[in-house]
Amino acid sequence: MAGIVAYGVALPKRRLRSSDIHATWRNVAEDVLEKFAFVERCVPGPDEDPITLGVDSARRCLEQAGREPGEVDGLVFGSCTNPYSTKAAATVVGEALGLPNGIFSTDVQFGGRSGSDALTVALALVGSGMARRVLAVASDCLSRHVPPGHVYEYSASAGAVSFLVSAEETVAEVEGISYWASDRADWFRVAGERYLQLGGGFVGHMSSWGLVENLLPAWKELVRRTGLDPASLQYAAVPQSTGVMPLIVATRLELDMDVVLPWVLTASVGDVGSAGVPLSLCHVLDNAGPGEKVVVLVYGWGGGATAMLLHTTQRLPSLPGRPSVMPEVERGEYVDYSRALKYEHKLLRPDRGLSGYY
Amino acid sequence: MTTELPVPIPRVEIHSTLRSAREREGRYRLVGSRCSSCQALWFPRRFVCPRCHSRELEPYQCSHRGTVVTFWPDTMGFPAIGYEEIEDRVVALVRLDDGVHVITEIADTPAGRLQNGDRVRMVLRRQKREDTGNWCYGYKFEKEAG
Ligand SMILES: [Zn+2]
Repeated sequence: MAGIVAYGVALPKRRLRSSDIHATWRNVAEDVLEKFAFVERCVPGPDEDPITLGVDSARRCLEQAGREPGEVDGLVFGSCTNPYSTKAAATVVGEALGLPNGIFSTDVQFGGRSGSDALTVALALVGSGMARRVLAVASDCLSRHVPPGHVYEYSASAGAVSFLVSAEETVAEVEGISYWASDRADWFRVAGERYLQLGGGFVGHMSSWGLVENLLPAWKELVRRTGLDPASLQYAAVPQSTGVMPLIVATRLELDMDVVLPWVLTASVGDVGSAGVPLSLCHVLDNAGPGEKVVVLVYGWGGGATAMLLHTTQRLPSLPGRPSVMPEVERGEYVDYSRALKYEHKLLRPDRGLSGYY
Repeated sequence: MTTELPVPIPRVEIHSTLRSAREREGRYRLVGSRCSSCQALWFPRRFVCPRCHSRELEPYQCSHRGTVVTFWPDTMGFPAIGYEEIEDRVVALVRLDDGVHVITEIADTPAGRLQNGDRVRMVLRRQKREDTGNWCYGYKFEKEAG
């Protein structure tokens, strides 16, 4: 069956400490930062966006696979903060990578599920025989779409993950996959709006509005279909927009905390949007051995969940370029809050000028 | 338009969307030219070989890795138009592994932490906006880890 051949990670180098945001706004009690694991997050540079980060992660993915761009025959770009409405971003990504023009390429969007949906589409293309090697890109710059002063600003971050999907030379194969979708306006942007709007709540029982309702049935269906014994799981990559979310998921799905918590990166990188769970999966693949079971649980606003069961193969230990996640996480350099506001284009400026200043 | 994501569109020294699109292969991934008659490599692409004046040139994919020959911080006093959001902007001459030289911006590393001979790799970054307001993407180089 189709699976993952290689993966690549790209995070912006700039980081912002939660304490810096808090010093300006003081919009939550200090212990809230600790409870939600809001420690630091990535800040995209003024020259970075989901396209540039996506391309960077895809280049690393192809390098790890030892494949030339000409050997790829499909591209799926998943983002819920696509720099373009209407126009495809996949064309920029495809040409920047030098992929052939005569391949299937497209953008997909489903909130925080966009990135893993790209992976699902890639698996379908390969599984159906429509393509041999497909690049699935998960990339988001959530931080640009959260207004200053909102509590989500502590977490909303940016980053990208790419997977090369094929039926040959896999390091992780898919055993089963299941879905659940039901309409929830938990987080949304109506067309033309820049900032995310919260339909449910950030704390309290409404904060998981959509998450549990969708994830639980998808998970139960996965267990039923694959005959999985949850006790046999070694790794789980779960939604991690805040540090509380993995705890909610592990509790409600009755997963062992030891299977979930080592792969939660919220405190280091924040919420990387639809690249968040893929990043957690890469962290798992960086550390897993052959023949181990990994469950990938994803939630996308709007709302819907995907539950995917993978097992690693004998090829995984010899995959070059591992680890890929922690070197990216650890190369951060701090910027202050005012510079983060500038980089994220949150300061009002003239539309047209001789330059941005005069 | 720009109130959506307030990134100003410069009024002078602009990228035209049409010209930008024609030159995208060079900007996106360093596609230059190789002279079929004297084998010289060129970047950006040429239509006539500056060395032997042959018009037989073919697209050539330049190497994406190279070495910093020299670099200079942007110290003009006023930031380059359309690039004013980046403080400590650094421009460098990079010798690619196939011998081609490119003048490029170094992303994310201030001049104080850069040295001649540093290894760099090409990355795609967003450039200043085009005259129509379209995003414009192109190469920069990033210092390699380790
Ligand atoms: Zn010539």
